[in-house]
Amino acid sequence: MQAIKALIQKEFLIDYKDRQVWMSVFLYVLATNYVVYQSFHKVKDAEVWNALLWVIILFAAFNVISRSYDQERGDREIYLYTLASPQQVILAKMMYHSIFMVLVTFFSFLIYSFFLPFPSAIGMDTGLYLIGLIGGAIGLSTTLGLVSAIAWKTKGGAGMVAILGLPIIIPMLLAIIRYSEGVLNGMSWMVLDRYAYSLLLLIALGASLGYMLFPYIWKE
Amino acid sequence: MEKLIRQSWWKISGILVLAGALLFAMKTPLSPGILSIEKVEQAEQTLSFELIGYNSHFMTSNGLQVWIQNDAHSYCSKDLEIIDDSHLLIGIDLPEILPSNLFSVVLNDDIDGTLASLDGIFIKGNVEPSDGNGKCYEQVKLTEHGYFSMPYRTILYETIRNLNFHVPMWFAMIFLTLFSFVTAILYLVKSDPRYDDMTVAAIHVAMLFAICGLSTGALWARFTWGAFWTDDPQLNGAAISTLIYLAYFMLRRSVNDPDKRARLSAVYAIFAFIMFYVFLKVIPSMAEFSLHPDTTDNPSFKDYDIEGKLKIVFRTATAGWIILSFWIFSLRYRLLTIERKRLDHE
Repeated sequence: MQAIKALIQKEFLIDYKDRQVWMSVFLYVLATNYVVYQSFHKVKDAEVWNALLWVIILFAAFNVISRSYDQERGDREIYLYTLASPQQVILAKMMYHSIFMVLVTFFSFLIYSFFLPFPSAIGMDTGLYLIGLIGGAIGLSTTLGLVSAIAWKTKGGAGMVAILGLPIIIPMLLAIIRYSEGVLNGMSWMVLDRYAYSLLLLIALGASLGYMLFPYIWKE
Repeated sequence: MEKLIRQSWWKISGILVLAGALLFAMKTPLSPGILSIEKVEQAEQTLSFELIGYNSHFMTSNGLQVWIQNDAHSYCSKDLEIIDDSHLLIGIDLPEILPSNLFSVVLNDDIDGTLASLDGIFIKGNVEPSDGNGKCYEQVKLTEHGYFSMPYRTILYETIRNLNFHVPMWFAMIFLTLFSFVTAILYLVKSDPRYDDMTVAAIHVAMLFAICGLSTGALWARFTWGAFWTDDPQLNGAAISTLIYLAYFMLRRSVNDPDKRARLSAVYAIFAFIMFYVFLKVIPSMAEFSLHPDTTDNPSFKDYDIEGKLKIVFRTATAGWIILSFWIFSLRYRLLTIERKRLDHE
């Protein structure tokens, strides 16, 4: 646990020292939101509004997570072998990216609803929608965690994360889009719980598979 | 494993089983049924219409009876003219006051058994619900046709035979991906390159069967649902699995070192398999409705087949297809083994 905490701190410090990753992600979110606003101007349909937001978040997640091993090349990679176990490394990466993705998601949500107003309906529970945002952000970063580790070891680069990750992410994306669509349509937790549970199941599976399989890929 | 691959008894018996089941599935006639009711004319108190049967034997059968029926009410045919094996002209006397406007047409003879039209006919007239006049043919016993046949269903008709192609092909695909999942785990545990070859070969052949399953399914959907592709959870699953395994081959191409390639692709195969099959289990139950039988509230083939004739043919065909897929897999695997030996030799 101590090691994981130190590793998360390390990730944070590296990103803080060279703020290029943060800047690029937040700029990416700003720019896409503005492009979406310019192409749509008005979104009347709550379902379209919701789907667009999740597509923006999805590509922001690819942007964030495909860079997650950029620091770990050459000497630093070898140094990391001596510091921690692979399980600690992957869990730390997943946690750090979950926190980061939650921030990116909220930022994206704010900018998006600044340009295209939030379609609030009568009887809608905004709290449930925010929980959905957090769950979706964590889900995206845990599922893509292992995929980006695989892509790190190939010569494909960032494009590889998209090729390998997109088909795998579809189930999770469907669950989270159905969930938040339901919230926007004013459904209660009684109806939505199955989406939430399947999302939790997918997060748990993604994290535990990463935990089990990462040791096989991290050393050459 | 290596020994089993070289033996030929299971290949021969698999092909025999498959050929037998498919011959049976293609050659067995469909049950007789009423295809449509046409030229319905109503004048005063008489009703006349033409009945078109499918696979029926009006010319050779005895004791042909036709009546229209609504709950407890039935009115028998007065005039019955047989044109040929599948066409009948029928005239029926109607009472002044009808119990209802909607009737179904029922037919009975000694070869075809009892057949009923699903659509029914609409009769104009004064309606007053009443208790019923009982059966018009007192002696009629409702029977099944006497010979062996495939079930007759509207919408499906002859395409019901595709059940023995389309569905087993997906079963074979699932079997092979399950197999590749196991060999991928074995590779990570034992680091034996033979397991990597097995994984690749199994996924290759699984893709072949996925393409076959997709194309037979698309044709079937065109005939029954009206379009090659529909928005259906099962089709979603098929598309995603195809994408996943295409990405698997893409991943293999982007790594040069054979050892690393095998390790990375094994990890991806395991991860993708579990995420995908969880999805298959979770998402269809999340969907509101699926056109595929057996997934949501849709009636399944089980209801069509009371005596389980269809089930026996289907199970035999499934076994045959799976053995065939394993045979193709073993050929691909042996090819990869030879290539590996040649590379080692050089």
